[in-house]
Amino acid sequence: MNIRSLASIDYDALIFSKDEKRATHRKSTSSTPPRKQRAHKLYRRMARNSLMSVVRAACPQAKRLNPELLDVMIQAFLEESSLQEPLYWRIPVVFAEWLRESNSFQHHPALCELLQWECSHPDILNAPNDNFVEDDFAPLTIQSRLALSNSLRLFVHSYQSHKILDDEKVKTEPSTLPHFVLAYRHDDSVHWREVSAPLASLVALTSEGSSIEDAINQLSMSGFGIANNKLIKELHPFYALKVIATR
Amino acid sequence: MWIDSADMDQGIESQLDFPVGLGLRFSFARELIENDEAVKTIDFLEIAPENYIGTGGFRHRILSQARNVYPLLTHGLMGDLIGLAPFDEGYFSQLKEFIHEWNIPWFSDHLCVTRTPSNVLHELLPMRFDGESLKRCVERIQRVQDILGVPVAVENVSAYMRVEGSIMDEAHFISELIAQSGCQLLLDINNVYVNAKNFGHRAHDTIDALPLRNVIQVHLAGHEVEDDGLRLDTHGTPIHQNVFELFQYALPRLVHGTPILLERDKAIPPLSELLLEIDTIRASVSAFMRDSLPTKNSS
Repeated sequence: MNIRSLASIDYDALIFSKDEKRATHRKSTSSTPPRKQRAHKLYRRMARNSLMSVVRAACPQAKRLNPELLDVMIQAFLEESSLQEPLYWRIPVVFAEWLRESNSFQHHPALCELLQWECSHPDILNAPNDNFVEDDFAPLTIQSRLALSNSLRLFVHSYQSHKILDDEKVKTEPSTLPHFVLAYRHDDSVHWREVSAPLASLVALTSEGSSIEDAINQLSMSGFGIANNKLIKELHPFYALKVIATR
Repeated sequence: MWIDSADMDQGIESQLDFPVGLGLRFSFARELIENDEAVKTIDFLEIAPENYIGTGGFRHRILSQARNVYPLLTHGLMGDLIGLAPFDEGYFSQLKEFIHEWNIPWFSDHLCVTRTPSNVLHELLPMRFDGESLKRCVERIQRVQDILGVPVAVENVSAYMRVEGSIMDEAHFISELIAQSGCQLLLDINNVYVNAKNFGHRAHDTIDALPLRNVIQVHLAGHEVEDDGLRLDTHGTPIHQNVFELFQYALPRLVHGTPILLERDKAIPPLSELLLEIDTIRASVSAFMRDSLPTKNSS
């Protein structure tokens, strides 16, 4: 049996089609009851409002800075992507993933970076709890193998989106050097710290299973020269907050 | 019938014939847990599993704290019990883990279109009521019941249009579905009323046609009326008097112990107002129980 044969409404077109008139009048004829056309519009409006509002709510700064463009972006996301996410709270995260891979809005790099940052917050705030135990916080040494909190995320920012303030405008020029940011959940909020490029690389490598020592060796081969004790010292605040542990 | 309260101290089963609960919403979650009056008034909470599956942090903590105070029931949103989209193994695997972790006695979701093969719609759209849909629903629900290992219930939904090609009414479709799949019914009284008004039939006839012995849970909520008379199931007002009277009409035929839930999702008032509404529901149930006692004693 053709699975589509069950439906006599094109639900995808009704909600996700770009052309509202076509979507809501799709099969209508002069004899189509106005009430049915109205119902089509109602369903489309309810579904799209619900999907757009969850993204808008996740990115207050982007909404403040350019609400019209944000809505254009969300509408493009709804119309161009295939939404497979059943968890409503994750829709902003999926939107950010789509935006990262989309070519449509690359000419708005600052806003895109800000959206990547803000839309990651639900993922950080709702990340599964860590199952670290006390033994996972033995003194940090070069031989330690790091275990990262489920909420820890690494960002590389050109426009310092993590620092944007409520009264700031959209940045037009990127920083000379990228900013490496480790974000994590603490006390039900998203916290972040800028870190050095070697530490960002170390975190990326250890998340793949390398020990600190192995990661440093790999970094040395890549041309990063950094004192071990400096790296350990830079790790310590995360260790103290228990967003990084040892295994 | 009652939810598993083995590790709760309240002994609800022996004290309450129709427990009355409230849908947990983040806006008043903390108050529900900390407010003694709420704890005294509310018998259980209902949650949308999609709001908690796979989460830690605040959501997980709220749920843990709520579970310490109230029994929990789940009511899903995007399970696609009608099987229009391919079976989502990942979703049901997570759901099963969730249901067993939180000791949830059954799973309910809406009898409507929530997914297509291409998209998760995040909306409740009307389905076609015909033999082909019925066959697919039966297969899907049996598969879900097998996987979850707990009873599955379908909720009758509100609708604003009929889908072309429907050859039976919703009540007939639900009766057949229950008979063939062995699932249960989550009876939403407000939805019965809204549909009756929107489609011009008698709500009491729908209640009469539904298999009320299979009702595992009841939903009560408010709705809003548009200028042209269209009723919208917004959960944004107190329960309408007509809906309440329809509930009282159905009550004598429900199995004793069926949990009754008040839903509120929009224009949420202070918790004290919701508690008063719960008191009203309970008073109605108590009056019915008092009136039915002689009948019970004589039988």
